[in-house]
Amino acid sequence: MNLCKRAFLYSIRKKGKTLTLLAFLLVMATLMLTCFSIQSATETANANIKKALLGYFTINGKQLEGGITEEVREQILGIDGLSGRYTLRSYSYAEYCDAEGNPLEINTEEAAQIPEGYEHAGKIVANSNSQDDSYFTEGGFELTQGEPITTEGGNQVLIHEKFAQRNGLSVGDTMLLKDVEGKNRTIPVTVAGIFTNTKEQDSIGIAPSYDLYDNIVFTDLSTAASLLYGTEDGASVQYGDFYVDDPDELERIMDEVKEIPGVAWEDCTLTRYDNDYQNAKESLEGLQNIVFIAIAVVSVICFLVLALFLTLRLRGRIHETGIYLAMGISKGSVLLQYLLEVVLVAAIALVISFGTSTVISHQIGSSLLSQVTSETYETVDLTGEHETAGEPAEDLNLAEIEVAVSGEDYAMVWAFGMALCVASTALAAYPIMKMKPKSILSQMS
Amino acid sequence: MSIMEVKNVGYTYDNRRKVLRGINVQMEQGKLYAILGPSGCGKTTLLSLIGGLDSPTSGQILFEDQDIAKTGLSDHRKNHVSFIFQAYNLIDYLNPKENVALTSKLPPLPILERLGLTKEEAKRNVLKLSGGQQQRVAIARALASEAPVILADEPTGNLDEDTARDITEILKESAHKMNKCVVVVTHSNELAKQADVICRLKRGELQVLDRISDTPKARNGRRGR
Repeated sequence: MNLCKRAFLYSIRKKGKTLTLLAFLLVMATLMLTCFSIQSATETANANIKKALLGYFTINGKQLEGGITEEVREQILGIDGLSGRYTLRSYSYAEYCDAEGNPLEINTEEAAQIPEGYEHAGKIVANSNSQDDSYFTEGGFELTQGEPITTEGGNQVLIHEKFAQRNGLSVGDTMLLKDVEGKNRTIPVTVAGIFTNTKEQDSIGIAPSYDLYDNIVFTDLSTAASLLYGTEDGASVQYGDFYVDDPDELERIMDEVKEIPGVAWEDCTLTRYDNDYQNAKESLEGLQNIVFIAIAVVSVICFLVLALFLTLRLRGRIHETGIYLAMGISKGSVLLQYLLEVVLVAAIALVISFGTSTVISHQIGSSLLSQVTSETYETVDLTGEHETAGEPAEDLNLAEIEVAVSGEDYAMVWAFGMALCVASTALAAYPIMKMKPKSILSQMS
Repeated sequence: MSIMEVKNVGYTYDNRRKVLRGINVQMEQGKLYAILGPSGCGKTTLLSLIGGLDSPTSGQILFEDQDIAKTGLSDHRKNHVSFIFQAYNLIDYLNPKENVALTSKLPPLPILERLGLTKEEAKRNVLKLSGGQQQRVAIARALASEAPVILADEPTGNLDEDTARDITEILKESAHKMNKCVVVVTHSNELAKQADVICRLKRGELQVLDRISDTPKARNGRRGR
């Protein structure tokens, strides 16, 4: 009779012992698989947060003569780790006139002061896409008519609805922007859209007239370049926001940017923006650490408990071992039989554990993740202020995270579980296997 | 022609207590040997040495003139000898047929039936058999292994008189009809009376007698055949 048959017969005829071992192994496999699943889910959550809370850095090149040129931007975008997404911005001031050159009315009633020369002037905000501007993404500005301004359209502006009403302007009308620094630069522009603000301006009564929401005009980069630098190609800008794939890489990328030659980097300010990610990361890293510790603790406990259980089990089988040895069955064959019995039961436990851990990991994992997720939202402050947030989980793609048992986790637990069974059986059988057959038989009798 | 030879064997427990000293005996196929002696005199130890369960402190155990220490104790146990124990030592999760089939490729049922077990009994849980039936299974297992030497350690020790007589008869037949060399350690005079050769172990020395009533053939020595 070969050892496989002996192992099989033992397993099916010693039902109580087999079921006890099965219960032990099932609990262990479920625990391990659950821990691995939660770990995978937190990794996915981390990856989603990286994608959602894009880190970026801003280059303030306001002090640079000629601004941030296209050539520099190309070199920056060539650095490894940049997502390719970027926004360019320039700020200036201009006097507003109608198509005939007559000054337009601005809101002066809520201003703290009206600087001389700015009686008909306001702030000009230019960027590569007006919809990406922080006034629209965070400040509560909303386009009510017309189209946003992009790099494709030239000599276009977005004006506030109150400014439009005050001056009888509508989409498609023409107005003039005149520089306020006496450089005699006048640029005719077309009203491409009208916006409004959904949040009240905090600085009413303390801001100068040109900074009031009503008096801000959004335009394209080429128009701003004409005003600022007297060029029309829009190649030079004051500010650039460059987004990265992995916020953890920001430091390295910023260091590489500063290595780009031909730029007076000492006159520039580079600022990193990854606070949201760093805050969210802390919560997730906390969970990851807990799961990692749980895996380590569960592994050690599983090994010790299994070794102890098998030691007691094999101690009760010294008699049987002695009989086998007396019959000339080798120690290796006896050890393999005992190992095979454990492996057989472990295989069944691992198969069942797929179902049990799927249920448990979903329950525990969802609860843990939702706790961490809510902490994350509190830290990134998306829940209250961001109007477009709606369901906050959607913003970070955390709602889609399912704590499920993956094939990779399952394979890992199989490999780990089997290794644990082999090690535990070897450890438990070692004291018996090192004895001489006569000693075993003496203990038998 | 001897199949087993114990050659000048000595055995010391824990390097202190000498149990066996200069034991010499030759054993042949077709004969029943009985080893007698008081408790603790080293009978079972001698049987263990012959069976390759342990190694002698001095001397050699030869099987067909080959030192079993050199050919391998495990190989010796597997191919040359089979054991019958007082406590039967059956594997409790295997039925009689499976116990017999443990180290044998022979069909177990004919052997079990020859030893008096029915087909139903051959499939029953071994622990539900009587002591005599369990010992018959143990003997069947020893016979099925096809080893030329059967070593039995007090095989009738746990059995009633009638059953012990049956088992003795089976062992005798195994030697005489199946040409096995059967070595039995026993306290039973009844069993010893059936033996072809009596070996009496006293104070670590072996006396070999032709019959239980005989005087020693040769002190601690070989039987001159």
